[in-house]
Amino acid sequence: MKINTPVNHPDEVAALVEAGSDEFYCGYNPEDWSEKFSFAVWMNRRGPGPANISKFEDLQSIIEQAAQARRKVMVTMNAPTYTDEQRDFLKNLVDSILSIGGAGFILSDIALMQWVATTHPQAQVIVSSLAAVTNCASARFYQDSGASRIILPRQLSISEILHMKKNLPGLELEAFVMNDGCVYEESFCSTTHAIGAFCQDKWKYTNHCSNESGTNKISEKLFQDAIDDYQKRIWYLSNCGNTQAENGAPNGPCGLCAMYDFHEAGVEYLKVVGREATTHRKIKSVEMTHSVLQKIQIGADKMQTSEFAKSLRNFGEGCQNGYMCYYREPATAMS
Amino acid sequence: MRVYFGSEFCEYLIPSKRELINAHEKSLSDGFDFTFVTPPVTDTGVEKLQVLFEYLDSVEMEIEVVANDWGVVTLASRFEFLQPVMGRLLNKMLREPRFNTMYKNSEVPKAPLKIFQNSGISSNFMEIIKRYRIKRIELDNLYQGFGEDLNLHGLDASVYLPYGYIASGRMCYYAAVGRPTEVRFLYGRECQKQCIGNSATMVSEKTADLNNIIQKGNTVFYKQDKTMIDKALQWIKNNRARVVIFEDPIELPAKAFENIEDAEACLSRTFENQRNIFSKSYEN
Repeated sequence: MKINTPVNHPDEVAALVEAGSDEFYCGYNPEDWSEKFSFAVWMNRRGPGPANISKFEDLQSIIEQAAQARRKVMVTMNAPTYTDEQRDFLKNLVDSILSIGGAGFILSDIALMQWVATTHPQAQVIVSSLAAVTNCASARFYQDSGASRIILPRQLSISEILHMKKNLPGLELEAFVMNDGCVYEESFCSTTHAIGAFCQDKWKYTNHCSNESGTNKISEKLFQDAIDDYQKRIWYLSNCGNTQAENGAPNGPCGLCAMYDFHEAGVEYLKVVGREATTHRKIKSVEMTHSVLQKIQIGADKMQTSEFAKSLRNFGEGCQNGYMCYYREPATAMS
Repeated sequence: MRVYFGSEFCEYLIPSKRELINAHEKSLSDGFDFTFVTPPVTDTGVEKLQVLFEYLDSVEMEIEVVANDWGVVTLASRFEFLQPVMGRLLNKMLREPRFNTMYKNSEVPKAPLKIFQNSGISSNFMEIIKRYRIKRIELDNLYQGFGEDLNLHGLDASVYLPYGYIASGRMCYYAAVGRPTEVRFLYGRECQKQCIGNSATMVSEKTADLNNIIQKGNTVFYKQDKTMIDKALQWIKNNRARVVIFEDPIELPAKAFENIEDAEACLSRTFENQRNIFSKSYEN
């Protein structure tokens, strides 16, 4: 099981390799994209600010340093979809990135995916979580379009992931393990973070029952109780207000306890999220993931793995209530 | 007229085989065409849909299946009498209610507006989806409208009124109502379907001018006002599109019309009904 890590600056590469990164992914958003299509139209899932590299020489440096450490670099081109004009722009970029040693692309647009797979067979095609591959039939659809790896969406249970792994021989799977949750399924959120995340707005919810005598009539108290927990879950998924534990561990969505099951099932990659995060957050996230992986590799069982992960987290409440977990089953079952 | 039946957003709301048979037989006896709507699914959902598709195919009449998952597209395409349709969740056009004022005031520059009003459909894309016999795409009526150069490459279009979808997912607070804290927001567990008969209005500072954001089940919608709908009806007329009218955002059946006059009559009845039910919150 390998750890896939975000990177947005050449200075991060050596430290992340040292922390335990096995592979890198990054976004490259050249200035002429924004000049042509505006800052409101994002080239990939993250905005043209700190999440993305804007200078080609920086991308080249990252790829070269990674190659020296025998690591691959994948480049994200995972906006939900592109127009023909945008695809033409990206096709030129694909050529440039491969020419400096980029290993592959993280994609969600089917037309671009098919083009890359057909015209550049040396490039690895990875399906972004933006494609929301939640079943084997969908995974095979993308495999037929040239994909060799699927990054699973966040909103799957462990048992659903294990079932997919068992039934998808020949296709690599990558599961989220640290940071940056989503309230909605990323693929099915049609808004833009260019004006802030829709889910992070301070919403006030009021329930309305359309059938006053209906069996599903919900009291205001019961509804508000569910909303209170919903908002609590949103806070945890949003990196707990960008806080960290006393030991410097970044608080936020976490799948460390699930790693034992993923390892046993043969899930190939773990995804640390947060291209725009601070270098400290990235390094800490990779170190924690790497530590848990080492623990599993020397023979820790499921319970021991979970206890070790929680000790690294040092965030009792977040681990106890399970609301910080990507995959809530193990934390709930073991707490 | 055509009847849309099924579940568009939630695996838990996929009808049973008996419910599907009843709905289909009723549409036949009423003389209506039938469209079966399906949600994004896990492998459990694929198994459920397999059984339902086998039944629909056994009727040996062409039946549309709106798919919101590429796995479901591939599954439906294997059945001789099922006609896959590309659902709203597979169509990634921007639905951002917080841009509403900017659109109204023409404050969105031309370059991004052109992209927001267009789709990812291209000749290259068509080559892929033709393998699955897709001939139709389902569209939301967008705040930004459809661009003059929106090219659907020969796909027939359906436009959904008066609810557009904004965001959806498996983290559902209606499923959490009345459940212990420790089993809330778990995926792949049983659901009491408390969304049926309930919906929530959502208000924030950024959408205070809209007063039209609602959540029903696991999905957030915007309800379109008359100006938006009139604009869409004009596009529908010009492009000979189908109109799909929902009295409720997720509780189907919905009614679909190829004839614009019938659609307009149905729309006015729909708004009248909703005024009665949601007189304060949903009035536009």
